Amino acid sequence: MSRTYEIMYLLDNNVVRSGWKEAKAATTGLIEKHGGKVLSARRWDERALAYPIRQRRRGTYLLAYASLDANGTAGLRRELDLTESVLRYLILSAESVPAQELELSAAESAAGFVIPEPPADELPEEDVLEVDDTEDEGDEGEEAGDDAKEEV
Amino acid sequence: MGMGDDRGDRMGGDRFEAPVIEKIKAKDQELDYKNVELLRKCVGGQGQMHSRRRTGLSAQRQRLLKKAIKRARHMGLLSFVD
Repeated sequence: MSRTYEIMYLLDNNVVRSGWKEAKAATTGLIEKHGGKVLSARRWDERALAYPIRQRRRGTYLLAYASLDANGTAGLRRELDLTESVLRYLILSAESVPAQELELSAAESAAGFVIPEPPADELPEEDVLEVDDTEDEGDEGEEAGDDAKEEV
Repeated sequence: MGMGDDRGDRMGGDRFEAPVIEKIKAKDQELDYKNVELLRKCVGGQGQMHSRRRTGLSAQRQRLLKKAIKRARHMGLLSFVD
């Protein structure tokens, strides 16, 4: 029995930069590979992530609706886990495809629809701080050792 | 000790200053993980979920809120901790 699923992908911006159509085709292709039928797919948003995922600070969200055999989700999940360009995904069962989604998806597929280039990640300042932290921790360890000696 | 004293104590302390967020209850918006603007109002400054007393939701809708917040966190839309 096939069901309707809402599938949200978080895609790597580096992949999106090299071509949105290709990135979209690759992800929707995975659904079809597992016996699904893509009902709608569109770029939901491009935004800064609430926390870094695999050193990425921004990402593009792709929202798709697909009818998929209930047995097909396990295989799809396994494949998505192994797909480097998909940072995160969420598969939910849905009652039906919202009419608005069909319209937006059709609008995106139409010719002349331009997807804006994803902006570059902000400088990873926290990464620099993390390096400092590890150095500090090392120092602390030495200090603790010194203290222990002094106490003796 | 009368009621008045009790209330005075509460107003003086910081235990009961949490206001109910009327918007969430009244507008009856869809509690979906994609509705990030709404979910942001339902979490505190450090990203922890507000209690039912603060969101003003029914038990059923609070459970939907919980699900929505957890899904949004997984997708990197909301932070686990700030």
